[in-house]
Amino acid sequence: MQQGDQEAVALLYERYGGAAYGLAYRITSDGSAAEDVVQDAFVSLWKQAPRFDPERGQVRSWLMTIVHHRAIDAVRRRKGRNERALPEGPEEFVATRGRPEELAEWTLEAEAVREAVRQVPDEQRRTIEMAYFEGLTHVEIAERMAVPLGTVKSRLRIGLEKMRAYLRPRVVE
Amino acid sequence: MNCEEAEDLLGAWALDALTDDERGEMAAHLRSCARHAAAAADWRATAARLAATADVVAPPPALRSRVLQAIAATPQDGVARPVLAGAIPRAGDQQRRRPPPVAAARRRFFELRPAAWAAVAAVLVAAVIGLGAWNAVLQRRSGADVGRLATRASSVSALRMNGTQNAGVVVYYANEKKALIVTDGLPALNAATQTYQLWAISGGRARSLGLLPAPVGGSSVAVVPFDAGSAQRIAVTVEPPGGSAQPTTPPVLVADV
Repeated sequence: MQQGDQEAVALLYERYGGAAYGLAYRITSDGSAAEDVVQDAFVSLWKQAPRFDPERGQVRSWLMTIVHHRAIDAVRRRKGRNERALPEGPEEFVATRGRPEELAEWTLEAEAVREAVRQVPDEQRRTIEMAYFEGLTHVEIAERMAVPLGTVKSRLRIGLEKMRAYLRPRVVE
Repeated sequence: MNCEEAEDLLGAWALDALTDDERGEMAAHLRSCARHAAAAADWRATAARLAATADVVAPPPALRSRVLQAIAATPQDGVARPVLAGAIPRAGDQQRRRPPPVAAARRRFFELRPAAWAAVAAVLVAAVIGLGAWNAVLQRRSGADVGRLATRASSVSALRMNGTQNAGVVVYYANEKKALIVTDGLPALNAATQTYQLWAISGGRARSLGLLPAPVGGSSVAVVPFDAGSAQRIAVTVEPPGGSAQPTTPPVLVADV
């Protein structure tokens, strides 16, 4: 066990614990469940840290992906539904070094993404949020919104494309 | 599943909103279709950024120790090398760090527009040289890396502590009328009794720009609305929790924007 890694995770918690907890709470609407999600996510991060490739991504991205996935699973468990496997491995992301400029980038990224979401028309944005923050399938969204399944598919695709188009000039893909 | 059907489901795939059956069919298609595999990864990266739209919420204080205790009791998977240890600078880090490959460089979040960023990066470099820790940042990183923070920026100014000591930077974005404030070496406060507050100063008058998040390891970052046309200085003061309507203490940090 690497003492340096433990210190690094502690620093990551200081930096991104609030964002992780905020996302978990937004999805679960349950403080206790959100705490479990955040703990689980940081432990996952810790366990897999030796596999990170420091040249290939941002550990915060991987952390938030884990938090999102675990939080949605917590909601699905409450509803008696199946959990899912994590979609991607940590090799898709990269470790952070926790420097001030990295925190600055995260802050700027959050601003840019919020602005991108504001560019998306209300119905498309609401449809995207039902999928991302409530973990609903497009079939469930169609039932909830009382619209055809094709409409939901279109809203998800077009809405996300608008986000991509907005972020593209600000993001190197 | 054919390409046309996969195209139709890209949004739902990226947001993990497919049914179990559809997800299996889509995964099978992506294994055999390089074009859609690349598109799916791209779309999923966009969807993942939605995490940034959730509000930051302070976790219960006890959670930190719970997390750290759980980590201390959990073995890592096949320890090969402590990559995360890079978060804590160690002697020799600079020598061990490899230059980023092209693929990694292309992942940088903020686009570096050649004409624009080169000029801005030059300003940033000029402003940063001599800024203590920021100077160290420059020394261990390339100009392109530093330029990431300056993309789209109109100006970069030094934050000064006690009149002379350099304590971070203010990056100003005129088009968006926003300022990015990054502090370095800022002492922690007792949150129960004090907080840092940001101000726009113009002609001796102060307008609150909100509270500065509590510094972690001396660093704090904030993006605030700011128009250099109506104010020329950003200042930070120590105020009671929740902030004040007007500054009640002398500025600890000042930047002329």
